[in-house]
Amino acid sequence: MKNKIKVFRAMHNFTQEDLALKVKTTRQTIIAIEKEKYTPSLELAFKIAEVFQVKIEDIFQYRKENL
Amino acid sequence: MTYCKVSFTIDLLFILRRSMKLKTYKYLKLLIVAFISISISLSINLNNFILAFSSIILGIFILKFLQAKVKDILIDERAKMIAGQAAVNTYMITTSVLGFTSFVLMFFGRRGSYFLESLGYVLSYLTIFIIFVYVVLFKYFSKKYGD
Repeated sequence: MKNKIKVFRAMHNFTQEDLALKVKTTRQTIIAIEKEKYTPSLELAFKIAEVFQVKIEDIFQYRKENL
Repeated sequence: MTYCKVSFTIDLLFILRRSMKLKTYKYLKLLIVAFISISISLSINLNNFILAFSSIILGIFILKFLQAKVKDILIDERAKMIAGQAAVNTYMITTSVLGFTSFVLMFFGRRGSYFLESLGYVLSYLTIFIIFVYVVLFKYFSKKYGD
């Protein structure tokens, strides 16, 4: 799952800590999502999209795994 | 010296009264774990198991109290997922090792050592109990999440 959280964070001038507090998660989770090591739940993805006031697909793009 | 003690106590009370950061909570948790470890080792040396039991209970209560004071998020969905995966892997490794060990003990115990055979039986019953608890919890969570 590709995502543009880092870009949107920079646009809104948010730190990872700020975003974590807004979506009620830990900074480690935000770091893991940004590094694409962890795919967030649908609920968390919606919360992140809500914070940046954009659609979920503007931040997260599904990428098929190469088999 | 007395001033230092009073100052430390006042600082500690101040920390406990207000909400705390995750870092402070982690330091205090480390202190509590050290306290429990020292109490348990002392209780073993003194042969006083009430001391160990009471220190564990006290430690749990203090940890619960501190958790309520932390304003940061302690456990989120990623932490739960990690804990779940660790639990499943622990279950698989534990049951495999216990099952294999009990089989070996029972096999070699029958050739002369009654103690080893009994230990093998105890371990095999323990393995069956762990598998039983896993199956019951698996059924419960399957029902809870839609099956």
